[in-house]
Amino acid sequence: MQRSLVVAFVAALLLGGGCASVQPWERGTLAKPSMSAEDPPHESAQKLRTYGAKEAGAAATGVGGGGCGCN
Amino acid sequence: MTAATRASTATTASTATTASTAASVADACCRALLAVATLVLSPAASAVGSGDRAPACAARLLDDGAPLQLDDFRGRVVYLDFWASWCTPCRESFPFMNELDREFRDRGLAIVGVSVDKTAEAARDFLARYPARFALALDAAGTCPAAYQLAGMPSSYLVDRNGVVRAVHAGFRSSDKAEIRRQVSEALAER
Amino acid sequence: MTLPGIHARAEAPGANPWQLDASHLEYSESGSRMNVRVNQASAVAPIGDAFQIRANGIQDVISGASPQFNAPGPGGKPQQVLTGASVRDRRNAGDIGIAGTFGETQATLRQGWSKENDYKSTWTSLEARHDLDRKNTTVAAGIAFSDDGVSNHDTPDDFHTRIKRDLFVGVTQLIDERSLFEVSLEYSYSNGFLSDPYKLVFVQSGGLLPDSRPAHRRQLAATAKYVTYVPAIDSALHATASLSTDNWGIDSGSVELQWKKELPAECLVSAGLRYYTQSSADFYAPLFQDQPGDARSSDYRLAGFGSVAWLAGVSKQLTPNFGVQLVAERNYRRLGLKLGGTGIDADDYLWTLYQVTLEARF
Repeated sequence: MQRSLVVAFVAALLLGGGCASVQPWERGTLAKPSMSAEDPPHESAQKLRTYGAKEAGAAATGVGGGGCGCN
Repeated sequence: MTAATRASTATTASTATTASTAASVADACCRALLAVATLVLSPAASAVGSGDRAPACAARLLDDGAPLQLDDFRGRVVYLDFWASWCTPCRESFPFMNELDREFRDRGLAIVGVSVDKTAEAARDFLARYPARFALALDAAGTCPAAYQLAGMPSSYLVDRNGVVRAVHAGFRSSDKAEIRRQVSEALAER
Repeated sequence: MTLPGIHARAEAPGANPWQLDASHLEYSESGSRMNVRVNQASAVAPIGDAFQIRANGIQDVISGASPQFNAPGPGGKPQQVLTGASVRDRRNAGDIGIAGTFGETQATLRQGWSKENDYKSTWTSLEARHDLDRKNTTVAAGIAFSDDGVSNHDTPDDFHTRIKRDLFVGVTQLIDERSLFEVSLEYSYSNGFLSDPYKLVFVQSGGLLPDSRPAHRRQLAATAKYVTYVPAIDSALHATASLSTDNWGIDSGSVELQWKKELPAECLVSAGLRYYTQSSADFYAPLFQDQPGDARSSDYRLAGFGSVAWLAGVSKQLTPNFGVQLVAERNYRRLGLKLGGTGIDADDYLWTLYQVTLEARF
């Protein structure tokens, strides 16, 4: 199962790669608050703590990125 | 067809369909792996930089929709700024550009803010909260930013009196203000 | 359980680099089980343009009963036996960190502490992100170390130690102007006293024994997330799938779908569903017939079970500097949704959570 997860991760990496590059001036939709890939910090912290306390599984999350890509 | 053959044919068929889908997706998308493998920020091939002629900008003035003609500004120093309603650092760059306008307009500085928003409405919403003293234009089609090959948002290009780019800033931070002022002063000092 | 150090969202300094957030959360379980109230405050202060100091403080007040062991009830059917409902615990935790931006790289170093009557913890984490291809690709990696001491109410100063090490890597990739994809992998290793000091196991042939878990735990989890804007409904859809496995025999998976939409007057609404399932630990049993081995537990959280939950949220920017967020979640834990292994339906319950957060940005 461990090996399969790593293989799946690498495969997802390969397949999930973006197509044409999104230009910096075309990020208006990605900059929308509804498109933020991460929850606000207090919300995500509590979500993790609650699931961590009530479930035995683990979840890997929180890479960041996306958004307006400014600065 | 025996059960065994049927089973293996079904498996082969579904594998083939999955494989062709995977192939087309993989064909079209491998940028992530390349980027990670090389770990290099590939420079935009035709990005406009210092020393280049400022390309024409096919934007339309926000007020009347007339085409923006950068040539009209020949003889003046132009601070061309690309902004958008969704660009958070622009909330800081706009008051700064207003300051620049106050300080340097009568010495020959012309600030032109080109919005890359898709609609004039979005641009005006931003301006309602962050008003501008300077000229404003809109390029919803994105031809002007493409001509300049912006590296980031916001981006500003300082163009001297002869239409040559003297400084490029990708992004806007508080610490950029002093440097931009200095570059504007230097460009204005030239005759 | 994931270390709090990992997954600190690094917000790049923008026009309002000073941040102050405060939140209040109420968590309650069905039956006369646990209730938790959590107050959290965090602050971010800029140091020049490239650095930030980040600080967090959390206080939990936990009350109510929790399952201690299972005992055979009428007809031999296992029933939960709860601890007394007079339990009331206070937990204080905090952390401080420094974040820096170096070109296209951001890094955050954090140090945290947690203290309650029968538990103490110190942890350190380092996390870095790097943008590539004009921010079309973001790669991230993080590592965290935690040293804990676990005791119990009766002998609060008699601490058993345990350590945890976490490692994570991830990539976010833009697909087009309205979608992105994120994949991440997390590995954690725990060593030491991993048992629950308040739980017991019931042995049919006589006696109650303390909950006892293996001294090592290795977990691996993978998460994939897809976010896309759908113009037809002017909304964003978020889909997240996770899988995890460990050396205790617990495999789990979850799928979460969320819909988010901006409304006029700077409001954002969201609604979602989450499905989770896990298999039981190798050493788990609701009741033990004969003398169990060194590893044994009847903890309902190590049983085979699944859950379905709904989530909803609304946020509003009140002024350019202040915003408020409300979230609610209700989670139904059900034996019937288990991935594998065993469990008892006496362990089924539901939990509800409400959280309100105030955000200030200057």
